[in-house]
Amino acid sequence: MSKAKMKVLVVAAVLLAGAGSAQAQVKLLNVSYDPTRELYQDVNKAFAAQWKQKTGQSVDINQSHGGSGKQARSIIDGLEADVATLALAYDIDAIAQNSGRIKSGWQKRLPNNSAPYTSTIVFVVKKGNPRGIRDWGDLAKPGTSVVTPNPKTSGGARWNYLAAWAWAQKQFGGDQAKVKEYIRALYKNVPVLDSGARGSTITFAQRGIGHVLLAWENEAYYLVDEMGKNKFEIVTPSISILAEPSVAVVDRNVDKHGTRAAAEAYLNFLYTPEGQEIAAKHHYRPRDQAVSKRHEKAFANVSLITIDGAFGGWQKAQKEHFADGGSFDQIYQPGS
Amino acid sequence: MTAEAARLDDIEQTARIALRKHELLEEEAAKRAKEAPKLTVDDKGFSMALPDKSYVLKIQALMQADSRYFFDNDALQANDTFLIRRFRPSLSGTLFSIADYRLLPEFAGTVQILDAYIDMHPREWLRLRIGKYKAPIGLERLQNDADLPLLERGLDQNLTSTRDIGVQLWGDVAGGIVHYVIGVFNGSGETNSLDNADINHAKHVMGRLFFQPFKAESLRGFGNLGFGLSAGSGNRKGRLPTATAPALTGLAPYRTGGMNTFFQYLAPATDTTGALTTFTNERSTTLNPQLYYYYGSFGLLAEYVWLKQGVQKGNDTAQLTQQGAHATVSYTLWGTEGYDGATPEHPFDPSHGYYGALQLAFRYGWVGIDDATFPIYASPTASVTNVQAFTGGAAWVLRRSVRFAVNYEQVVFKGGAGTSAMPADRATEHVVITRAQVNF
Repeated sequence: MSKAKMKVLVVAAVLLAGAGSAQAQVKLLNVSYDPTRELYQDVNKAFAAQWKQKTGQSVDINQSHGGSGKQARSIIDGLEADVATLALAYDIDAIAQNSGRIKSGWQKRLPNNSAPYTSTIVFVVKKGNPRGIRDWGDLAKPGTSVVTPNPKTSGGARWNYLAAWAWAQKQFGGDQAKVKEYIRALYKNVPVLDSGARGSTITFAQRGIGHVLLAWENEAYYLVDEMGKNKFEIVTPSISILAEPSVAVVDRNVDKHGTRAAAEAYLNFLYTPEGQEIAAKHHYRPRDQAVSKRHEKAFANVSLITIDGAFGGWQKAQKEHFADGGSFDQIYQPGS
Repeated sequence: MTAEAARLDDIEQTARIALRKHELLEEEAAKRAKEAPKLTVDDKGFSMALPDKSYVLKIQALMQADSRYFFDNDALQANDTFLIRRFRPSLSGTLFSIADYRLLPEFAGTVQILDAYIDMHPREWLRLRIGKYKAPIGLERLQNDADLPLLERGLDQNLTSTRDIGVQLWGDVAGGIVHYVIGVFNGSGETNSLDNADINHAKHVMGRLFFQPFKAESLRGFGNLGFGLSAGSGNRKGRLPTATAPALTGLAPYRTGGMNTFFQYLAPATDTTGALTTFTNERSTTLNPQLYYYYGSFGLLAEYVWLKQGVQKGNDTAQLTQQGAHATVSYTLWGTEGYDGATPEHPFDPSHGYYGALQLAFRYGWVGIDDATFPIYASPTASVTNVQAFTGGAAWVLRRSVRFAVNYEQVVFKGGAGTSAMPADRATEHVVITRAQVNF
């Protein structure tokens, strides 16, 4: 084939490619953890309006929710997520390490280690707190039924577990045997392990199981708002953990879909005052100082330990507690 | 709380926990069932697919059992026959969401591979197909064999190639309103699909631009109108015979619906040097305007093929213009018409009073051979200069997968008989073709 013919072919291909992309509507898939449904419904609406105004393009954002660990596994196995908004950084690290779909160094791409909002772990009990549950120690008492999801599949459950562990560390002066004994007693009181936080909320609130639900702060408020303030109340323990749900663009997928610009803008939107206001409205603790100040009365003042400070970071915590043979496997016997 | 109330509370909790565990087990089982590969057996064949369709394997087959009966022509009555016209099991599917593949062998007649290609489709508008498949010329040629309203293709399709080997970029733009194909192929020549390798260094560039304006959301009620242009051009050169290999002319015979040859370039079996054989030579160019329209039970498909064919015989060379056209009108009672065939409103199910659909079709077809072809490149006593075919048919379409059909075709020839000094017209061909078809 002559060079002239080849040029004609290339030009035709480029023109057709341009025509196709100009026509396309942007579609994004946000693969998230269990309790963020309502948050991202509002975020999607606001971002779509902003993106349309800015670029003229319509953006259609689909959501997928489930236990954070399970969602990470789905992305590793090929779920075509454009963005991952998961319960903890470890799950996004797992995607990066096990599939290469997210480039390493993802945490440095966005402010606050790519965690645009935070939360913590609180208790939800029946109105009037008939069992008098005030702090972590009450959860291990015989006869107390505790509802929490499975740390093997749920990000929220891992935060619950580590918050309880941190309290016990402090309570028992670092005596590992006593800490483990406490955790064992606590999980002996867990009758059902759901795979995600929303499942546990259903178990507790709709199926009427258990005396106390360990929940994300935002999920606790959701439950109280949805089910009625006369049915449940929130108990803030003496100590809890700073939970930092993390977000990342799934590089390989957005490059394949041609959606990088929209996906990056979507995550950046979470940091804007509008995005932070939406987060605060859904009881996620905003990072933005001004927004945080406006909503400071909405969040309990609780002493928060950090994953880095108390556990040496997620990699170490995962290995010691949740990996096969870790502390959870040692203390938990299914059906016990 | 009294001891009795506490006991009842414990019992109730135990019952609730058991129910919830059962509920979670059911949810897990339902989820696993959703994630498990799905096996489907229906009128479209056997398929296995993951729920997200990222991996799909389809096993399908087409079988056509025909009969041909010639009458009013003693010379052709020896061609009366039952035959297996097509027997094509196929494997096709998808790998990792973006790569489709298809393997289609033909076991009826000459065993050969018809389709063998991979089709990468990162976007609906950007697809890349590599391998052996139908080249983008001939609207009727591109129609599936199982979906044709009449049993054999029109005469003009002799001027298009059945399959070619190459690479093409193609796709649907704006929701399928614009369909494009552009590709580079070996250039297998008219109706020649057996060669799996090129016979010369030159390649053919072929393309197709096809519009379906009624695919626009606001125009969908107007049926399915499609029109466009296919074109191809390239240099081709036949290969002279050698001591160990026969000549490869790059030129195929033209046949009627009854599969009788009505035109053939000169290629005497006794010609060991190639001096008396006509070969392709230099440029060959095809233009093919095309149109279809389907609305409910009605269908119309028409096209014209213009082929400028460079040829050589000995020291003689020429650029010959061969032309053909056809128009097919079809109507389906108790069903709908489409480019992908007739579909019964209700598949065959006598227990509910459904008997499928009846498709009626009529076609006029024509091929005109360039006068300059004779007598140097083709024999006026063996090949015709002009041929017209009138074809009518009916098909009982039980379901998409099963049909029985009968066609009658009358073919009128000009030339093709007599002597060189006084050529005469070949006798009109009358043929009845029947077919039982299974396609799943």
